[in-house]
Amino acid sequence: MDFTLAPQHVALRRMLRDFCEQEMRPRAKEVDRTGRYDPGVLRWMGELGFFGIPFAQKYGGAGAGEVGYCILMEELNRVCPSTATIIGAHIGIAAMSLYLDGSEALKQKYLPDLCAGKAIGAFGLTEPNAGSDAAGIQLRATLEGDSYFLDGQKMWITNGPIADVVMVLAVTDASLGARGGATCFVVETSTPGFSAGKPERKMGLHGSPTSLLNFDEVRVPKENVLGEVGLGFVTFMKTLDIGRVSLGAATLGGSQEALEASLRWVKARSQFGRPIAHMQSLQFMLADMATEIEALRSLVYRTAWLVDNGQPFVKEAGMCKLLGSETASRCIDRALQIHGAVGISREFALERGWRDARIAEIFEGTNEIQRIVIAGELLQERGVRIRP
Amino acid sequence: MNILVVLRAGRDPASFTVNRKVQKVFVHRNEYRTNPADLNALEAALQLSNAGQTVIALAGGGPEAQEALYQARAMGAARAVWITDTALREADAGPRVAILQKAMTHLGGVDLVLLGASVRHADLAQTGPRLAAALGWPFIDAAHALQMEGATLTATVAAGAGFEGVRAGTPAVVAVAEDANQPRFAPAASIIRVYAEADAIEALTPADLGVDPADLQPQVVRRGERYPPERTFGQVLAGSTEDLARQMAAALRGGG
Repeated sequence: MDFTLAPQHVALRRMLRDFCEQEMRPRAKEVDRTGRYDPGVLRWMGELGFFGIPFAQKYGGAGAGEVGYCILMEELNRVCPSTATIIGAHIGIAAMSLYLDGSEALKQKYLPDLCAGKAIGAFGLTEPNAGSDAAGIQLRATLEGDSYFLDGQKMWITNGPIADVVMVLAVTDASLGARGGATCFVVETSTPGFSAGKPERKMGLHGSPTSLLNFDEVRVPKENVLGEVGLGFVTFMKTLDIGRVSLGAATLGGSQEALEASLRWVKARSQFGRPIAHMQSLQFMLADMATEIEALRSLVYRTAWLVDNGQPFVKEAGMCKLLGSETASRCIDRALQIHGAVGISREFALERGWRDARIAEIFEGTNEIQRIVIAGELLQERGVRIRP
Repeated sequence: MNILVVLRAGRDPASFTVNRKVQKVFVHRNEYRTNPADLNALEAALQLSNAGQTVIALAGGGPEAQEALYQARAMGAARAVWITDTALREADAGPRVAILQKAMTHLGGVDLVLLGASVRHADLAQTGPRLAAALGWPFIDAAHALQMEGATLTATVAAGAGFEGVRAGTPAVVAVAEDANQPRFAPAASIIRVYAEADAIEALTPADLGVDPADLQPQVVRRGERYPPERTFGQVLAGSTEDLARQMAAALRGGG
């Protein structure tokens, strides 16, 4: 057994840590306050290869695999969850679906710009009437000649207002339902008939733009079908499976940040004549946080290793998302308690961290869905097939 | 033309704590960092190399030196030379200068040696001036805005409360100031690529270079460790507003 990162991943983490601390941390508060990410930093991240970190170098990626991608998400989410979410949706689900199932021609056409950050990607699954019930999508794609025409809406799409390319799941044969009758398309947002709604006003992740997408007779050439006609649902589910690992890594970063802030605070803050680090009640909170974080770290990086080594990982990926999001919520909540009134002050990053963390229990499959996925895998391993 | 950049790596300051009360260093993780000013020297070299010079990074020691060299290659250094001798991790300037002189011959000649002006390392920032003295080359200390035109180097260096311009002919040794530039970040793809290259780093021992073992003996002898006293923070002032202002001014003037 070897629990150490490979030397290239150690070096990658060092570079990412330096970049995040030097260039992103000083801007994170402003990103949250103004609700605007920093386009200059995003461009710089593109030049450094952040946008294509897990993908093969032949497509313009960094070739760092899932482990490298998890390191990126952990480091980004420590300092600026808004920016981490932009990158996470771009790599983890948008570009990933293309990387997993796209034809060689589609990969060659879109991945180099996606990897360089010259094009931003989004992943269009959720609709007004299809959230956890992803199979209930209604956005329709009709074949006419050599093109499909897309009609309908997507909702709550991360990167919606800024995306250049959206991977869209649409119904191509209503008689077959989503499983067999849905197809995935690569849609350029400059296509006539496409429009994005204005960014949603959210509780957290203010710098990560989320919006509704409208499709009004949007023409998509046949060659932009991602994967096979009718198998789009499979592509999307497969993509979400892998995305959960990096989402777990992001929550790991948020949890670690809460612990670090708490450790600094208990040394600096004195009550009853001595630093509050001496209070056993707070020590217990610190110990619980550290223990949960360590468990999460082991799970996330082991699962990333499974992905990189071609092993089955669906159950573990669900666990990464489930344990990660709940660990982050608990750790940040405890950190707020440790900080006392100061914790809710906008002067400190914890208040922002608390608002930013909550969505992780909801997006990319609610935690209830994760439990269904994990239980489904457990039962399937024992010969019982369940359908939600 | 070859530009040699000397990298020194040491323990990452975040990986250990110094407990002054019990007079002990607690090492929590075996993590290392390249000396920050050496990265400024590398950045200065990479900027100069736009004019066609070859940047060669050199480090001596154990795995920490190897890590520093991979970082240099990922940042853009064309070659990296690793002197594999763990004794060099804590070596003072004497052995370093002996090795550098031989390495420069091995590399087929070097016209400019760059290294960081400040150092968190046992060589106490003596490698630069001693190497220059041994070679009979000019030495510029704590250089900013290093430029080269033909065989002439120009730089600005701190002088009193300001700066002054200095000029030197090559070959020369230049110690680059820690705030002279912002070292570039290595692109993620370069990091992965250099680690995949079988010959990214050339490993040599002092014996390979023909260094006399007598020259590797440290000149600084460590006799023990002494820690500064525990720091106390702050001072509560008392008195009228006028008194407070006076005390504050006195404290600031006295550096208190």
